Amino acid sequence: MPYVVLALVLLLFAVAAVWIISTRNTFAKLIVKIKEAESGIDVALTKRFDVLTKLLDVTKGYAEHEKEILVKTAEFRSGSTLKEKEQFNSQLSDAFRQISVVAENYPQLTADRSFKELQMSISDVEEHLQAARRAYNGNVSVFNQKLITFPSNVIADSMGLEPIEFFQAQEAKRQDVEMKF
Amino acid sequence: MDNNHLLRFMAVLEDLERQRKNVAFLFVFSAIPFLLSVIFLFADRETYRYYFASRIIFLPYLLSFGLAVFAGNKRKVYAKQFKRYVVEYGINQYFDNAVYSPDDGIDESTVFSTKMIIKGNHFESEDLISGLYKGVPFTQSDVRIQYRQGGFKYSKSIDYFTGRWMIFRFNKNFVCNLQVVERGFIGSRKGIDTTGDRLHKLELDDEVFNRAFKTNCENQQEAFYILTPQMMERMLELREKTKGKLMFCFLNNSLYIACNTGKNSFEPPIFSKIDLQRIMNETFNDLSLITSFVDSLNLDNRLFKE
Repeated sequence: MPYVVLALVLLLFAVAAVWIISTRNTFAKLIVKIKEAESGIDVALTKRFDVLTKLLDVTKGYAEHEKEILVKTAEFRSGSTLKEKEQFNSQLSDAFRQISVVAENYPQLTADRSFKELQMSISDVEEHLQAARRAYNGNVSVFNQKLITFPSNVIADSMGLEPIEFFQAQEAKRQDVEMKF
Repeated sequence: MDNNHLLRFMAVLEDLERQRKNVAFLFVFSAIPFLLSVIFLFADRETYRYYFASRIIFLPYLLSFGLAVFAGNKRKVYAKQFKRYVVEYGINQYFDNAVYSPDDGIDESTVFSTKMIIKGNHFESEDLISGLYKGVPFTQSDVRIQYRQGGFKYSKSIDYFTGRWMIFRFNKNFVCNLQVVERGFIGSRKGIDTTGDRLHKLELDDEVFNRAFKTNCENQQEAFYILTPQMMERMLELREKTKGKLMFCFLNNSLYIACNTGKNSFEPPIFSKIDLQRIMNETFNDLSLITSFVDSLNLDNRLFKE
């Protein structure tokens, strides 16, 4: 009888140990996936910046007197925080908006082939950025859910894990669009 | 269609109707000896023993079988001509420039290159249609994949897929392998890529979509790039509208769609009269499956390709 009890206790310990190891590994994998998704955002932002730079070059050729086009957008630095990435993304959106405003005043610019091609590539770049954001937020969501639900939250606490922020949409896009006629 | 063509076409229809009646008659007639032999089994025992002893009872079976084979061959000729004249006419009415080959189909290697369906040991493919719709090149054919076990009589036969297989050029450039399979699709393989490695299971940010489809991919970000919220919504709409389970595979800048309808398309009527209007309606209905995918999934949107 004592041997049976001992065997049961050992079995319980073994099950608990396997579960603890498995949960710790799951958290570790999720962190890697989140980092991978974050690097995807970096790539998308870099690509967006590159397209903006090319657009600026094309635009400057037409709008030499337009001081507004001198966008002071710093080059994207890899390794920046999520907030910095969101800020950079917001700056790029502002820059693109400025270029669109300038382009409206110069029909020969909108007819320029290079400009048109770059405008097309903006859409593709935007889609890639959205995909990177969704992938990142998806992984963060899974991670945060595991963090707060029992019993995985016990392991999370022991590992000192904190909830991760989502990659937020830009403030301007959240506001209602004002229709002016 | 000018008058000469119209007259020729009417003559063809009359000939097809005549062939249809012959085929229907042969099928019905082939059943008679078999039915008679069944009646003999319930006849008077003395009579039964006499026929059994003289082995005449096996002759009706042989006669039935022979007639059925003959009827089957006649049906093949009839079906071939029906597709050659009537179905092709319908396809040319529906598409401006499509090519129809009733005897050809999407080849086995192309279907199995997607690695999203179980191979089986029997593959059939026919009714190949290639063309352009709204500038989107497409190819479609009927495909049947089975596992057959046993000898001459096929004692066991499992249907993995019977339906339509379509290939479209996709409107975005992508590098990954992405498979989206409607839940309950019997015959689908569990998320294998073209090299045989297992793909990663993916949960999208749309719970309704996740409940309806299983998604496996090589690259998570590319999967989100392809499966935008709008794309997912349209795939859900297609799932509601389409009869049969759906399977999508995004591979090498192409979109492969398998629709497990459970039946062959463009088959000729045997026991009902050839009614051109009804047949055209059915043909257009079958062809609209191709156009519905292009329209619903916006495959003609060139925004990301030009």
